Parts: sequence; C-alpha cells; structure tokens
Amino acid sequence: MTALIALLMSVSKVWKGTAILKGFNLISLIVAFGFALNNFVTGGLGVQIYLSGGYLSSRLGDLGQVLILLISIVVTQMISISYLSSKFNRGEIVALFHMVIAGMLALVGTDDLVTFFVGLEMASIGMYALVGYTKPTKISQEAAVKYFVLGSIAAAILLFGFGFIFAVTGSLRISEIGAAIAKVALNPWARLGVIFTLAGIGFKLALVPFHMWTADAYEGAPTGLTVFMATAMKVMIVIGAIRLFDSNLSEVKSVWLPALGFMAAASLIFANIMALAQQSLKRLFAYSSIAHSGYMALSLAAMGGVSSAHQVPSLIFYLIAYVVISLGVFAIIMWLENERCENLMVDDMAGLAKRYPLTATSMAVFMFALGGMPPTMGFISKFYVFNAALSNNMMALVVVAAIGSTISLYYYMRLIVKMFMLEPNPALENLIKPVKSKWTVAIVGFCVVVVLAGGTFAPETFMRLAKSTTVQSE
Amino acid sequence: MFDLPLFLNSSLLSIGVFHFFAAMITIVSLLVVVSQHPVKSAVFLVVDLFLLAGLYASMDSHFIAAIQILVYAGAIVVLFLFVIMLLNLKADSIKGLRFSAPEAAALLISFIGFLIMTFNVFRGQAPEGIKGGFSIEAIDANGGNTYMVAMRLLTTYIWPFELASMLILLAIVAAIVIAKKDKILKSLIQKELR
Repeated sequence: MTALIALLMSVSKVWKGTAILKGFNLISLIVAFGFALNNFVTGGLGVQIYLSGGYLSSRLGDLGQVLILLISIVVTQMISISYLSSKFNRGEIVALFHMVIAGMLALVGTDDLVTFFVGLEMASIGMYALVGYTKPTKISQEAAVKYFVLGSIAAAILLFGFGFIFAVTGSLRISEIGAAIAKVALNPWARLGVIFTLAGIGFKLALVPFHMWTADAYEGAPTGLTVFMATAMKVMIVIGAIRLFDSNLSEVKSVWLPALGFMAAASLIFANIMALAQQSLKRLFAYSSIAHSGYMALSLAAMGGVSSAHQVPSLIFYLIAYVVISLGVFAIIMWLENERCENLMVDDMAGLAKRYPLTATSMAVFMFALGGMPPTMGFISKFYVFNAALSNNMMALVVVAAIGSTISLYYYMRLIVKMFMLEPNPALENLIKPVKSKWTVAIVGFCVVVVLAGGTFAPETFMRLAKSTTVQSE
Repeated sequence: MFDLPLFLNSSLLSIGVFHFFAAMITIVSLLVVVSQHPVKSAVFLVVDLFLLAGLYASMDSHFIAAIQILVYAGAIVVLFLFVIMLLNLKADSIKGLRFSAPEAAALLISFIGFLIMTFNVFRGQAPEGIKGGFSIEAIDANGGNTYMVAMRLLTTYIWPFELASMLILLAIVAAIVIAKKDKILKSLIQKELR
C-alpha cells in the first residue's frame, strides 16, 4: 500500500501541469486512504507480519495510517485553496510530500528497527526540504537549517540508541527486543540504548529539553506544512513510541520512566509559560503543541505503571482529539492569511467576531478544546489521560499537568477575549481578505462537529475505537 | 583497564589493536573538526575513514571494511574534495572560540554528565557480544561475511532496503529542489532581500 504511493509519486514528477497535478495529488492520496481505511475496517484484531517483520498489519498501525492519510488529504486541500497553491503544486514539491507520507506510513506499520529508522529519516529529510523551499524566504530557510542540523543530531542519537539495543539483545525486531532486554535490564549498555532512544523520540515529539527547534521551524514553515508537522509527524512518532515503549520496553521501565516523567513535566510547565509571552500566532501554537506533547508523554509514562488498562487508549484518544483540533485551528489561520499578510499576530485577531462571527465562534470552540474545557473533546481527552496517570500512582505528574493546563487557559482565553471583546484594527481590514471557500467551511465545520460530539455524546465511540487498537499489543 | 565488550575480545586481533585504532580515530576526528583549511579537513576525513575500516576489519567484518574504503574513502570524500576545489573555499577565518557564560556553563554540565555516564557504563558488566545468527562462528559457518550480508539484505531486510533506496531518491530530489535556479523562486528571494 505504501508502495502504491511511491509508484504514483514517481509519475507525478513527469506531469508538470498544475491542474492535473493538483487533481492527481489528491486522487492518489484518496486512493491510498481508501486502502488504509479498508484495512482498518476489515482487518481482524490479530497481528499479521509481512516481509519478515518489515511490515506489520495491526490495529494500531492501521489506525496510524488512516490518520496520517486523512491529515494529508485535508492538508493538501487546505494548501490548494490558499495562496500557497502555486508554490506547493509543483511536481518536485508534491513528490517530496508524497515521499514524506510514504516514510510515515512505513514507520507506523513496522516491527523492525531498521525500517523504523529509515521511515523516520524519510519523513524528516523530506520535511527539512519542504519547510525551507516550498516558499523560500529568509526566515523559512533559517528555520529549515536549524531543523536540519538539530534533527540530524537527534537522528544520530536515536540510531546510536538502536545500535546499543541491538548489541545487547541481538535482535532488531521490536517485538523480540521486549523479551530479550528483560534479561539484560541491568546492563549499562542496554540502559544507554534505551535512554538514547528516548532522547531521539523526545526530540521528534518536541519535549522540553529537546524543543529548541520547534518554535522556529513552526514559524518559518508555510502554514500548511506547520499543521502537517504538528499533526502527522506527531501521529507517526506517538504510534512509533507506543510500539517501542508499551509492553516491549516496559521491562526496563526503571530506566526510561523517570526521564520521560521529567520530560513530560518540564514540557508542561515550560512550554505553557513560554506560550504566555508569544505574539505570533504560529509561535503560540508551536509552544502549545509542545505542551500537548507533554500530555501525550504523560500518558506514555503511564504505560510504565502498574495497571496497563487505560494508557494506550487514552493516548490514542488524546492524539485524535489533538489532531482534529489542530486541523481546525490551522484551517482558520490559513484561511485568514494571504500573500501580503502571513504570520498573523495575536493582535491581528482583534475583533474577528465582528467581521466573521462564525469563524470566531469555531475558533473559540477550538480554544476551549485546547484548554480542556468541558463541553469539548479536549476535556474528555485530558480527563482520560489524567485518569490513566492517576491509576498508575503518578500523582505528582498529574498535579504538574493540572498546573500547566491552568496556565495554558490564560493564553487560549486571551485569544477569545481579543476576538470577541475588542474592536477590529482598521489597518488590517485591507490586509485580511479571505476568499469564500466551501472547503474551508467543510473542514472547519467537520472539526467543530467532531470536537463537540467527542465531548458530549460520542466519547464512547472514540474510546471504543482507541481501545480496539490495544488488543494486539498485549 | 576498562572491561571491553566481548565481541571485541573474541576477535582475531587483540585489544591492543582496538585501542590503537580507537585512539587514532579520536585524534584524527578532532583534526577534521579543528583544521582551518577545508582541504586539510577533507584529507583527515579520508584518513579517519580508513582507520574506521581498519577497526571493522579487526572485528572480522571484512566486507564492511572493504565497502567502507571503496564507497566512503574512495568515492564520497573524493567528491567532497572536488566540491571544495570547485567552490575554491579559503581557510576559515574564525580565530578562537569564545563562549558566553551560559554556554560555558552548559558545556561544563554536559561534560560532567558525559563523565558520569561513561563511568557508569564502563563500571558495569560488558555485554555478552552479538549472539544468535550473527556471531563470528555462525557467520563463518554460513558462508562468510559477504554471503551473509547479501542474503540478509535481499531477503529479511528487503523492505527497509527498498525504502532506503527511496530515501536516497528523496534526498536527491530535495537537494535539486534546493540547488536549482528557479525563476519564480529567485524573484521571491530577491523581493525578500530588498
């Protein structure tokens, strides 16, 4: 299935016509999405291993592929209707984009550390190029270089970790490592390997000691790619991290649990405090995404705990909620910005409710959801994560997370106050001129409905979906 | 002396050889970074890669050693040299490194962390070496290094192998996208610079 995309992608370089390419891009993604959805719906609960561990068909991986392809379709459509369209819909950029997606799909569906690493590198290297050169400006190229240098170091550390793990366990299969590493858990080389792996994963998730690239890369990248980085990359890494840490490395949890707990706590406090001071919307959401990585890390840390009932579903639930909310938020931001007015500031949102009441209302819904207020999916997802952590005796971490969540309310509410209670800035009237678009309405509307439904009458449905992924991992 | 991992002990050559190579690689790697002239750096890199090949050979991985010399030292670094000469790079003018107080503090903390980590790692028991199908005896019994690598690469690891080829394709496309002179892009950049 991933090979399908790869094949189509190579054709896409031949056709240069924008209109053909646009349609082709979308259709190939939709076809791949159809296959993934089919796999997910019809596939049994069991795990099938193909290509001697290289490709693994499981509920978790299938869900990851469905999510990634869904995000890609939405992002492609969002970019195509924005001013970035002519820059994005060039043969080589689309080809890079498809190869990034192929790398992600390979990573979420693998049981093999080599494939894991190659998939990760495909996704990262493609992203470095896309960030800097889809719309080359000084700031985006600076972002790309920073992202590239730090990302390469992180990849090297991750590979180092994999190397140590292989040296002590003699296996590259993730499912075999779990049993093998338990016998050598006290070996310092094994510990070093696990810690290095955790550091690499932490970097890609943008947890706090390794978060330096995030704000710059998010701000410098064209907004369409920012949302892709914030959602699809996160889905990929979280699914990969679940594979690695849940039940497979849980035998050596005494090694990685304190470190992961520290990273989660540091992200929650630090990122939320940093976000308070941000003026640029994209930087604000970059720090907010670090904070949300912190919640996901909290739930990941809960996997090392005593009871193993709630953690993975709560994490998957949180991931889905975060992806939907982010897509909605960034769809609105992309709709508002244009060629002359990119990188919106928080102040630019002033009085949005007067000019575009519906947009402002949906933005407010997303803000409430990100802040974790009751009628939305954001609340339920936080509730599940805290519940999972509490049932594993992680009181201190939950307290930290609650404090971080309280801090975060300030900057989310600040945006709402700006939108609803201030007068619009007349100088911006001419600058922000969004075009009417059915697609934006559809995407934002869909996200609002899912966010509200997930918070009111349908959390059970999502939870059942999330729970079904864990059957295989035990 | 530190207790070395067993897969080094069990090799044909002694620990002394490993120490020699390890020390040389460290020194030469430092020279690569410290040299002010890019051509010198690149030449040291060649030496470094040769030494690395020696290390592989001392661990009985002759195939990897040969590939290391052919591909890295032979092809890639020579390309480096070509690029350096084409670009006509001059010696780096940066004289000394200066650290601000926070940078120095961060460096010190990292260094202490590194020392603690190294100490803890080497104090413990060494790993038992590579087990199962990849021990030196098993490889010899199965037809040698090259045969084993080929078999693994084209059977068990065919999927990552194919993916890696796509990764390289991706890197090429990315490099061309970055390097190519596009009129639209050029005007955009100039607009930005103005």
